[in-house]
Amino acid sequence: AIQSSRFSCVGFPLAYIFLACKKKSMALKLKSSDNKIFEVEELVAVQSETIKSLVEDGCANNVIPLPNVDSKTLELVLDWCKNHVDVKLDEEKLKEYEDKFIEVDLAVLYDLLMAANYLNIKDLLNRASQKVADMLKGKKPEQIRETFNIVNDFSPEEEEEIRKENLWAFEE
Amino acid sequence: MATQSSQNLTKTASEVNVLSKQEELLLDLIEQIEDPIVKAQRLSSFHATLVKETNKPEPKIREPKVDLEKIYDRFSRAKKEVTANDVQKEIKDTKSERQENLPLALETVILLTGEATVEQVISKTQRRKPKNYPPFSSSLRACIASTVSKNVHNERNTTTTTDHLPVPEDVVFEILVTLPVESLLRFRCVCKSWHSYITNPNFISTRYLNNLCCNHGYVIHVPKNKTRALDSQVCRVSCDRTLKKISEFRIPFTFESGYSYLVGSCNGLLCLTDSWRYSLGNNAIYLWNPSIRKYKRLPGTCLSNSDCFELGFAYDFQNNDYKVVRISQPSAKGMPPLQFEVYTLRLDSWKRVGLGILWRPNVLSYNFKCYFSCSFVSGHLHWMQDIFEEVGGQPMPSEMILSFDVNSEKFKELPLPEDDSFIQGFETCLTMFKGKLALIQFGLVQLYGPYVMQCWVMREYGLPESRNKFCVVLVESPTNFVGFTNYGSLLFQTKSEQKKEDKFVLVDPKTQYKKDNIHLKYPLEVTLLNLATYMENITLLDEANVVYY
Repeated sequence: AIQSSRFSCVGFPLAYIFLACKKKSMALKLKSSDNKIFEVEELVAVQSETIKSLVEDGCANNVIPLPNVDSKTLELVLDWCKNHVDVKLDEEKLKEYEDKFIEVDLAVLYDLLMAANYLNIKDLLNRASQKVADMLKGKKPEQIRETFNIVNDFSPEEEEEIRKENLWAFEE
Repeated sequence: MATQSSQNLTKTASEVNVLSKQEELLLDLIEQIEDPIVKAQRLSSFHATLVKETNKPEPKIREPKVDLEKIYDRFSRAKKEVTANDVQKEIKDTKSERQENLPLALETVILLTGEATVEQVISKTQRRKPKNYPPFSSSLRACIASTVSKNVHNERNTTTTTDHLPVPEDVVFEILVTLPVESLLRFRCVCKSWHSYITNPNFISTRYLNNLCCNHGYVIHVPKNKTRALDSQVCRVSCDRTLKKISEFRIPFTFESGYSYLVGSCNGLLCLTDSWRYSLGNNAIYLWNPSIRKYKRLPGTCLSNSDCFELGFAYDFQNNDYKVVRISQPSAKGMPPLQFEVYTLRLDSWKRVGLGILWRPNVLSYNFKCYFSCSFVSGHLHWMQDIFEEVGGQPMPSEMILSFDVNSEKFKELPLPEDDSFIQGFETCLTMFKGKLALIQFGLVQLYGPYVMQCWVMREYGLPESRNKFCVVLVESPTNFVGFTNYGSLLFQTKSEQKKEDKFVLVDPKTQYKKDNIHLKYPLEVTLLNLATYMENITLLDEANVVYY
C-alpha cells in the first residue's frame, strides 16, 4: 500500500515532503561489500552522484548495497564527504585535510580511486587522480606499461617515430 | 497491491508507444524479478527513463548491428525456461561477433544478468555511443547501479586482488588529464589507446579547463622594441602572482626585422608575427607551442595588395579550433575600405570575410591601436580604433571599439563608456580583467601632475550598461601600462632614471596595494612589453605541417 501511494502522490504533498526532507537531512544506510552497514546523513552521502540519483529516484528507502566498496574504503570515503559538506570550512584547513587524507599507500589509493569512480564523487576522484599522476609523471613508458599491465601495441618503427618527435622529453 | 501498481505502470509504458525492441527486452527482464517491491522499484525507474527521454527531441541513432529481434523472439517464445545464464551466453556470443556496436540497452541487459560492473558499462557506452546519443539519464544510471549492486555482489570479491592495477578507461583519462606536458609526450608511446586519448582535441580542452580551475597561471612576456643589450629571441615565463621568472623559451624562428610581436596566447598556443608589421609583404605569422616544441608557419595571405595590418588570435570554443584574424588596408590614395580575412587551424587556410556592418558616416580616417595583444574576451576579439569624423566640415578625433565574434565571424561596434570621466585624447586600450572586457585609459590630467590610470569593466559581456568604472590609480612618473595578470593584478612600467634596470609595479586594483620590487630583468631601453597569460598545454600536437625541433 505504501508503494502505490508513493506513486500517486503528486503536487503539493510531494513538494511538502521535499521541503521536510530539506529541513531535516534523512539518514541513509549504506552496505559495504563485506556487509557492514554505515548510517550516514543524506547530505553527506549525496555527494556521491550515484547515491544521489538513487535517492532522487526513490530507490534509497532500504539499505543501499555498495558491492564495489569495502568497509575500510567506505569509511575513508565517508570521512571525505563529511569534511566536504560544510562549504564554509576555510580553504586552508580543507587543503590541509585533503593533503593529509591522500597521503596513503598505493593499495589504499587505488581503492579510493576505484570507489570515487564508482560512487561518482568528482572532487575525490580529481584529488586521487592528481595523486596518482604525481606518482607517474617521472616514469618511463616501459614502467607505465608494467604498472598498468598494458601491452605495447606499437611496432618498433611506430614507437621510434613518436619518440623522435620529442626526443628531449625522453632524456633523463 | 504492489504488483497491481506495477501492472499499471507496464500499461502506461506501452501506451507511450515508443518502446524499442531493446526497451521491451529490458522490461521483460524486469518482469522476471520475483520480489514484488524490487520489481516495482525497477519499473518505476524504467518508467522514469522513458518519460524523461521522450521529452527530448528524437535523436538519430544508428540501428544496432546486433540482431536483437532474434534474441528477443527466442526469449519471448520460451519465457519460462530462460535463465540469466542463457541471456548471458547469448549476449556474449553476439558481443564477440560484433564487438564494435553494442547498443546502450543491450549493455544494460548484460548488466541485469550480472556480467559487467556499472562503471564498465557506463564507460563503455559513453565512449562508444554515437555523437547524438542522448546522455545517460540519472534514473537509468540509478537503475543500472542498483541492479548491479544486487547481481554482482557475490562475484566481485574474486577479481579485485591482482598484482597489476586494472583501471577503467575513464579513470585513466582522469589521471592523464592531470599530468604535466612532458610526461604526456612520453606516455604517448605507451600504447595506441593512450596515444589516441592524449592527441584527442577533447582531451586538450579538458586539460585547459582543468588548468583554469587549478589556477596554475603563468604570464609570458616578450619585449616589443629593439634593444642592443637583449637577446630578442627569448620569451620569458613568470608566475602569475609574483612575476617571478619560471622559465624561458627560445623562439625557434626568426623574423626579417629580428623582433617578434606576440599577437596572442590561447591554451598554451602562441601566435607571433614580425614586430615591424607595416612593411609590405613582410607578414610571416607563426603558431607556436613552446611546451611541446612545435611550430607552424601560416600560409600566405589571400588578400590582394595587403599593407598595414592588424591581427588577432583566438580560440573558437564551439568548434574547438584556433583562428587568426587579419585586417588590412590596401595602400592606395584616398580611403580604400579595409579588408578582412580569417585563418582557421583546422582547415589550415585563409578566407576572406566581410565587415558586415556600416562604418559610421563621415569617417575620414581610422587607425588601429595596437597596444595590447590580449583583447580576446568572451569569444570575441577587440580592437580599439582612433578615428577622425567630419563634424560640421571640421575633422574631429574620436574613438571606437570594433569587436569580432570568433564563432560566427561577425563584426560589431561596441559603444564607449558614457561617463563624464572618460577623457577623449587619453591613451585608451582594451584588455581583459578576470575574464571580463576592460577598457583602460591613462594620461596626464595636468602638466607635471600625476599620471592617472582609470579602468572600466563590462560586468556582463555585450551589455554596455553593465560597464562600470572600476578603479583609478595614480602614479608619479610616466607610465606604460602592461596588462592585467590572470589573478587580476595590474602591471605597469614606470621609468626611474636612477637605476639602469626597468621598474615594474604590480597593483591590486581593489586595495590599491602597490608592489614595486618587481624586476623582470629587462634593461632600461625596454619601453614596451608584450604580456599575455600562458599555460602549458599540448595544443598543436597532432596537426599537419608542423615543425618540431
